Amino acid sequence: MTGRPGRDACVPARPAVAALVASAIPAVTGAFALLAPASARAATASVLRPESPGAAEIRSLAFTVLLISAGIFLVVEGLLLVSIIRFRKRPEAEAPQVRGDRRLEIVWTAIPAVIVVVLFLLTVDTMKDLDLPGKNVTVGVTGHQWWWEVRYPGADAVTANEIHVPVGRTVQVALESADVIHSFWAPQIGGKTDLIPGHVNRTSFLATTPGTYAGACAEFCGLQHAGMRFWLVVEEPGEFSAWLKHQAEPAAEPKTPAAAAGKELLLSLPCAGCHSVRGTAAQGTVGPDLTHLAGRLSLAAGTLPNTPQNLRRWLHDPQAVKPGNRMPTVPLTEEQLNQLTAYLEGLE
Amino acid sequence: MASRSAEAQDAGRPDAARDPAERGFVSWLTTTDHKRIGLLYIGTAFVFFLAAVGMAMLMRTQLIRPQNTLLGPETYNQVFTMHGTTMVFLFAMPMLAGLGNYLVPLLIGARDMAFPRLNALSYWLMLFGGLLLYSSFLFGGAPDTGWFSYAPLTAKIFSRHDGVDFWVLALVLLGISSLLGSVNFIVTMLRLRAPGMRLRDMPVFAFATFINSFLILFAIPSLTAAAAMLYLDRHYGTAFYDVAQGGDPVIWQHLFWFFGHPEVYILIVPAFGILSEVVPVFSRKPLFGRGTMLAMILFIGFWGFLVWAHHMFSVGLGPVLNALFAGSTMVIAVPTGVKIFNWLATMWGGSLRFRPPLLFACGFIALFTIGGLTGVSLAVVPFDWQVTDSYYVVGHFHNVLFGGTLFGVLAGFYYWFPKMTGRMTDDRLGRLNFWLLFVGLIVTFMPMYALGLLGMPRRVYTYQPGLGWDTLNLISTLGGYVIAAGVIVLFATIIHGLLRGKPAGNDPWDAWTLEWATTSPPPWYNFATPPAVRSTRPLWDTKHPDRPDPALAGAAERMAVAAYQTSGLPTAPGKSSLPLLAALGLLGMAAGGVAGLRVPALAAPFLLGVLVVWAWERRPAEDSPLGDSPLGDSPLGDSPLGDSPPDKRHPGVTGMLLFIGSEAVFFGALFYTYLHLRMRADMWPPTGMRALEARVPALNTVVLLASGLLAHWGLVNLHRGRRGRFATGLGLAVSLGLVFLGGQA
Repeated sequence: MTGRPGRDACVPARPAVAALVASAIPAVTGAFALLAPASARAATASVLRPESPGAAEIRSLAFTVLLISAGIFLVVEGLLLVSIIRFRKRPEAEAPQVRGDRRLEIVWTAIPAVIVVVLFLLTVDTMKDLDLPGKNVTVGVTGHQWWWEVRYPGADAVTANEIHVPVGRTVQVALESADVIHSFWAPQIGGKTDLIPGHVNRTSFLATTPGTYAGACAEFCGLQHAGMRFWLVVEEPGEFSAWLKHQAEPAAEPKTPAAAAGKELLLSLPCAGCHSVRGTAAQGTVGPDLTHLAGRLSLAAGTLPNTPQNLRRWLHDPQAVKPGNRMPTVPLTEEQLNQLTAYLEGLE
Repeated sequence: MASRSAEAQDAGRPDAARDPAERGFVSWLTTTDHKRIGLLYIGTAFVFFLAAVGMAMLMRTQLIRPQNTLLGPETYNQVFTMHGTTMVFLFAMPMLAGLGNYLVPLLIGARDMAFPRLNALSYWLMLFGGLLLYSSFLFGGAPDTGWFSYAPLTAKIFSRHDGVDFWVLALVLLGISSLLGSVNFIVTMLRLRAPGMRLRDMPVFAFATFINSFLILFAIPSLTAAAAMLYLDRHYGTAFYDVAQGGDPVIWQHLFWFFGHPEVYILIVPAFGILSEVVPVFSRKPLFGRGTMLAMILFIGFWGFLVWAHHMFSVGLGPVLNALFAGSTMVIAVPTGVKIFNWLATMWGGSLRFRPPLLFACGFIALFTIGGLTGVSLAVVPFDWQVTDSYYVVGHFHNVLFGGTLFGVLAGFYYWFPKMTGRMTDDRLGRLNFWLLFVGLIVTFMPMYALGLLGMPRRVYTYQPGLGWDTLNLISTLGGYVIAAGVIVLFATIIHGLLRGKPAGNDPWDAWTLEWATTSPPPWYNFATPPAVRSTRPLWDTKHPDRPDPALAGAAERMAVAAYQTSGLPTAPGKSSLPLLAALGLLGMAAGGVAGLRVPALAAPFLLGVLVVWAWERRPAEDSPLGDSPLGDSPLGDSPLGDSPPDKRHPGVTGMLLFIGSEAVFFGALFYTYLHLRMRADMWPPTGMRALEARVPALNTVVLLASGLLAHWGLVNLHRGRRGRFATGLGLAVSLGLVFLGGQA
């Protein structure tokens, strides 16, 4: 077709090799990131580091699917590469005008069909296994823009953005939404379940190792979707019962004059309109319950570690920390900030 | 090169075929030539593509490191919503519509589309829909609820600014544009094929566009219905999606994905068609298993409507529905796999010409395979529970839409560029373009699979350090910059080709389908005489009279029937300002809806006026791409329809029937919503919404139907000469019609 047959054939070879090498880099890095052994304390939210039998089963299913896919991938890309290499260097040759081959087509229709049937059976089988019968503990989780309300039916415990559960027990989470659709996801424990207004969705799991696992909202829910995370704390049953009992108690009384002044502030400022501190006049239900705020791992739905400095920063200007969140910035003097921080830090 | 210079001589200068009437800016506003409309579509799609790529670069730059502050959440959410909406509705669909517009009439040997003015209207509505959507940046902010905009995040209380209204109304305009385009494609291919060509003998790209048009026709109305109800919810308190008043947000998801999954096939099926044109020509072999390829497109098109709930596995539909939709989704893997193997078999044993079209086609096969395989993994319900709404999904659909749709489109663009412009693109630039995009895609999107598995949700404007996401995001962003470089090279290639490209001649690739039988670019009438088609590779037969392709069964008889079609040329290229005016009227209606003007007072009478003029105007030269026909009174002439006798129906009737079919889906969606809400709770409809009560409208519908039947009965009697019965029928029909109007009021 062109006057210089050799040109088409050889020009792309060198850039092609360079390009393929360049493309291999992210694949290698990705594989390393996924499979490198995590150091004992390194935080992760990896689907491939399961801490529950359900998540472990999903992982082994994923590996099976990956293996099958890798086989198909190698066959297709292999055939592509072989035809590119084998049939590129004969630009002047007239190819035999083959139109098809019924038998070959049947072969490559039947093989994918069989694979699909196998995958379907594996899927249904795993779905059955993941459906846990019975339950030992029920947790009620309600999604809000952009935080998680956590309740324990039967106990007067209310907390936010962290879910404590006992190890080795079947936990059922009842999921509801106060506003828009959210999705509950703690990757090391199991897959996602949506929180949908007007529906109550339930998901069950059984965690096998005590620890603190990252979780997040996975369905886009507005401005601060990125700032809607939570911690799932798996602890020994004894610890869990003690924690639950403590969470049901009313708030601690302030122990220092500064803290006492902080309490008065909280009740007089707009804070009490949205937040509850059980045992006080603050009975708001719009924002998270603050009764045992100081005992929590994080502030602002998993976006800040719960330290006095961060609490102060948050109270000073919540909109700067988490733009768009529903807590308005209330102008406070340095002294007021100190008092409020002192009070909240005492709410163990 | 020797053969090419001879061709260049008879083609003359690339724009020699231009009619003098087709010059100047105004001629683009009034054109009804399918090729110029095609170019408008393609050019507009490229402009929106640039905008969407720019927004992608903003997102990737924001995510280059944890807690970056380039974009705040407000901007980021607008940018990802607009990126997705633009790529789907303003790049991929218009680009495919543009390629189809330019090529389908040429591929089937026709002189224009069946409805040239409607064709122009489709284009202008697409442009105005896009402009309306983008104008939201100037009026309080772009939509920021994501391209699938789940209810109730789109409700007025959660999305106060007008972004969602812009999105809804722009989508309605774009939807009308796509519907009109689909009706046009279908009627064109039903009625205007070259003598001898049956539907199944059309080039695969035309066949894919034909099937695709049905997908659009039956999928879009579901979105339009969902969007209409969203608009009513936002402004009139209907509460279809509002739980507090008895609505249900899950309805949105069903209606959206009943559109949204076929939409994915709408974006990929034409690319399958393009590959089936490019791979054979550059392998110098016919398409392997052509019949199977057509059957698989048909199957995917049909089955695509039965898989939508695989987007909803985490919604809590229950194990039975989840398993059913998992199974139905996996089934799609089989025809898709067959297509890939058939392309590979087409290349096998060929003599491959590695020009840019084949490079992109090979890139498609290599990358789309990955997207297909990860797609199957998403049908595995428990695994989907883990990775849905994570970066894994982002990686997956970019593999499909970038590696698939975009690479297919570029394969076709490089393939047909010489036909559309009369000039060749530079092969070195084309290769550079390919390698930058290929490497960029891998480096950008492969890390996303890992990120998803590492627990990173999608649509986050920032993330915290320490979860193992930092390096992978950095790599992904650097890959994004490689893509940006590839896009710059693409535009450099286009500009270089337009200004400096070597003359292409009629048939630079030594190809076999009809578009290469005319000049590059083709004259406005495409073909002086309709080409005869004896096989699926008509130009192969001309070039190799000693060993033609096997003749199609019955081709000779069909051509005898169609001999009349050689009658005279239309006198001038068509033009009309009505499509542009009508589109402006519709834009006015939509813009009025955004601005909160409950009655778009100026636009409505204007639009009505334009439509009245349109209805009265008779311009046979424009509406008859094939001139006068001695058979029947159809302005289109009659095209041979396979083994069936020539169709005497006016093509407008066919078009109207297709439109009614599409509307049936729209009303089906509304009806489903009504039943779902009435069965779910007694709260809905909200008090004071008497318009949503069904009894009176149901009775009224019966009255209207009876009126229509009586009118028909009267007409039948008129034809039989029974004037008395005609008068009775007409009288009853009119009085029932008045009763209906009274009921409506």
